[in-house]
Amino acid sequence: MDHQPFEEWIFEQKERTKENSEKLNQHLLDCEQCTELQSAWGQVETLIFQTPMVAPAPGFTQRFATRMELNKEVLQRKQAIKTLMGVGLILIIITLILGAIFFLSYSTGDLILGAVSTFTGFVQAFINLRVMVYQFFHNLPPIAIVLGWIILIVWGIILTPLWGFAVWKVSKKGVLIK
Amino acid sequence: MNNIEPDILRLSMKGDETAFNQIVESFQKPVFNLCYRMLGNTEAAEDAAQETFWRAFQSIKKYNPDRSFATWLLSIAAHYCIDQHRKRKLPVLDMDDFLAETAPDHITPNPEAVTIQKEHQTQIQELLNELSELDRASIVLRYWHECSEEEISQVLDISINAVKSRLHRARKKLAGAWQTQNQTSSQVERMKNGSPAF
Repeated sequence: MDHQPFEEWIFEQKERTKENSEKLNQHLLDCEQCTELQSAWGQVETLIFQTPMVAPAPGFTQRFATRMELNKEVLQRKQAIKTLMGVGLILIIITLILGAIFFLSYSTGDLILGAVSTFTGFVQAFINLRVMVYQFFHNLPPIAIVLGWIILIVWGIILTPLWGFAVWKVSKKGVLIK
Repeated sequence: MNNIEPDILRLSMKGDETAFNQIVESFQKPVFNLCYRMLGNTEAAEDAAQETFWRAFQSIKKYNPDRSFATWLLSIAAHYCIDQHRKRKLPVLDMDDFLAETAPDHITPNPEAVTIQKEHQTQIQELLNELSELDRASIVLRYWHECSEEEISQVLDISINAVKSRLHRARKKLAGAWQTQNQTSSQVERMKNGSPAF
């Protein structure tokens, strides 16, 4: 048996014309399948209308506010990591480019020679500095050395308690990060 | 569907969290209900509803005020639930947990009403589980949220004709599932009352 358009009319919510209603009623008298379908759908619809909307457990907005704070922290952390990774990647690329230019511009012999001369230059500069410092202290009057010690001791007396106070404060109250 | 005060919406769009919390307060029930009907599980529904509001908060600057806010919000919820449903097989619902953890819709007068409500919730959820994600969303939006076919099409991002055909198919499937359920339960009843075979 052809159940169209009767099946459609059973599930449709629009108002039917008088003629269509009569046709449907006639069909329902002859067709057990459609009658059962109509009855079943009627019961389902009644059940739906009897089932109320479900509300969340109390305190939903508060839980959302907490979750929002956590999500924002995670988001900030992700953004910071992304920024750091971006900067790091740019630095690596720049280093690689400069390295490539450097290695392509000079031969291996030039590079070894340059490295050795730079190293010996550093050693020579250190020796010269040491001689200068030695000469400086050697030529100072004795009173300047005594004054230097006094200044060091006074600063030590002032800064040590300040340092201790700072450590105590941090360990007691923590660090405030804005 | 619920509407929202323009001032609250304007402040929320500027990133005011207090104003947005008022939106959460106003829309928690419809959003949670949609998530619950879609996922059939209290914990998953709570998580989905929270995620919906978080996504809404993140993208509220892009919201077009010409469009209904409720439709926009339910659209986020529906799409999130559809994705979640596709990602994993959901656990079987536990109605005892549901009634213990969720607030009743109205003050329930007596234990009998609670039992009836519990029975209805179980039955309806079992029926809804028979439907595909989009069909289920269409039915939930049509009956619990009283959305028009046009609103459903906006929420689910499908044409009005597709909504009509989905609603028709879903109703037919629900009626069929109801018939099957009743046949099974009446068979069980007959077996209980029947005389022993020997």
